[in-house]
Amino acid sequence: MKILVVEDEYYLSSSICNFLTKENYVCDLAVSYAEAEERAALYLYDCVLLDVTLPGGSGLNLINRIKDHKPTTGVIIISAKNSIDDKIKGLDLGADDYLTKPFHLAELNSRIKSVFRRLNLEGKLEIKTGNLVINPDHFEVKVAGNILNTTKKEFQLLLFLIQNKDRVLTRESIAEHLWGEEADLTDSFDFIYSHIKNLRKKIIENGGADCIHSVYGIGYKYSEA
Amino acid sequence: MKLLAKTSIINFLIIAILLIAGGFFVFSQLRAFIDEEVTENLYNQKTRIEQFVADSVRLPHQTMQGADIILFQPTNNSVLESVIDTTLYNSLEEETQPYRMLRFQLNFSNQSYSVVVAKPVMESDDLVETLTTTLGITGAVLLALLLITTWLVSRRLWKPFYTTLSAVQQFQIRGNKSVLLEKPSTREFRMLNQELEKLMSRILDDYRNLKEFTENASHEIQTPLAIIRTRLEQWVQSEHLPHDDQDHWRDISEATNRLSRLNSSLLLLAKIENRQFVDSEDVPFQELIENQLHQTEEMISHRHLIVELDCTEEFSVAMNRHLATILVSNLIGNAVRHNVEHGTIKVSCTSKGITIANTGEPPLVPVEKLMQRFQKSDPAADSTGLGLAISRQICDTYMIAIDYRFENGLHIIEIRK
Repeated sequence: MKILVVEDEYYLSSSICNFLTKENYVCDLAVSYAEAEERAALYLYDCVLLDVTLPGGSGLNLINRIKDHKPTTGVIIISAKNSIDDKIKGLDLGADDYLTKPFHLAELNSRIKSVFRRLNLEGKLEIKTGNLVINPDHFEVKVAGNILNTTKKEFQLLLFLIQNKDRVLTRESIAEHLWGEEADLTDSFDFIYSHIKNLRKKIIENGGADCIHSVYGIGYKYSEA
Repeated sequence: MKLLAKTSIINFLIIAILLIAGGFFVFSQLRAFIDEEVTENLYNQKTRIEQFVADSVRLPHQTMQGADIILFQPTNNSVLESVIDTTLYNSLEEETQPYRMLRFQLNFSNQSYSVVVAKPVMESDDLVETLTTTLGITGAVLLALLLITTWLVSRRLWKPFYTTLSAVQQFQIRGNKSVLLEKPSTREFRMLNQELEKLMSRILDDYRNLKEFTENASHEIQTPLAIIRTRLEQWVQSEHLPHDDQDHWRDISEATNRLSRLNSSLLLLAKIENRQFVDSEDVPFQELIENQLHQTEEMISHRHLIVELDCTEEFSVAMNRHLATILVSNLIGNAVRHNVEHGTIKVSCTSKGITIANTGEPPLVPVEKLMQRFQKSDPAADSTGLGLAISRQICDTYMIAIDYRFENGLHIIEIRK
């Protein structure tokens, strides 16, 4: 999967690229409006991460060009402006998602995957890992063929973990993914702990492997190894 | 004290001092003049008596009648000429009066006489009385005239000043509108108005700059924060993170999260202050409250809270929906967060307002300070201390009254249209 990161802040874009490369994406960088325009016209991308304020112009103006070039390119706006207006404007112009800085990389990863699924596989793909099958559209999890009875939050948590397989997910990123930015951190950590406990119990009871590992004081990790 | 009152008091004092001092001066002058006149008259009388005696070779009639008194008394001793002040009976006015008398020696047909001529002196009391009345009336008339002129003058001359004053009173820093002042013909007032206009536009500029600065600063902080966060997330992925590094990581991560929350709260506050939420619609609060209660369901059941929602009437406000959501989420969030195990949350709404009452520990910060920025009832808590400040800012923006009180172990927040 090929991704273009349009971000003028070098340290941030290199960080993102670094991370995406580790996730087995092919990552290109653009640091200005002109460069982004050129790259978007020359190459076909599966996903473009687009900063709004760029030297040389507003990233919002690029959305149309990217979509014209290849309609199934997912466009995720990454902006420092957390304003509703900007969000609506971006989505109206055809962006697929909107992330406000500072975001968690795991969150970005999860969004990229969701956008890609929505645009390219019409959301029909089930996610398989080990003997676990997740259908994000029906909020359904099967373990060794048995349907797992999960709550909505447990489902979201499991999906988030699996989308970020083999990565340590910090408790903060999980809390923000599940409850949004307003989440009360200390309390949510307790909830995450109990959700994880329930999930593990349910998965093991239904014949699944215990793949959710806790990283003491930091977070959790889904890993089959 | 009003300017007019102050001027009047000063006028009154000056007039009073002038009249009293003047009164004393006039009194002493008059007194001296009258005394001199009476003494002169007495000496004239003496000359006339001596003349009479020389011409008609007999003594004039003694008289006790009327105001003037002439008395003769034969004497063997020599009489020393003297002027004496005394009181005598005035048969004309039938009362004892102050008199001035002249005693002198008169020799007639080998006989010495002591002659006394006396004239009534005007009584001091009478003089003082007359003077006081005259001067008092003059003073009163003067004062009245001055009052009227001052009043008229102040209405006319000071009119531009009062116009400016009421215009400046209308000036609101948040209204973001400069006040246009008149150009009066009085030079001082014209200068005052010019300076005031400059001052107001400078204040507005500064305020605008400050607001923009807050917003820009918050924006600029987002990107470095994003860099720190992404680096942190990558760092923690490395397989065998040493134990010490884990601790460091946790500390940095916590601090970053706090900074990030603080920054986004400040940004929100700045945006509300900058009136960047322009869209407005009729927002029904009951719906928002129900949504919020639904969203915090987990926490509510986790802490075994009992929620009572009593909405007999619909409370709705024409405002920005997003801000209304933030307001409700802050208030309900607080009611859940600052509650006790097995506590209660009671939400009641009428068409006039909403009351949210919840059980909880008494606040550690003075009640009136709770709505200020960075006031936390528990300093160690993981909150930014901006929640209530944001709520108040939202309420202020839409002229909604918000009150907090702690009563019978209940935290009560009330918002009213």
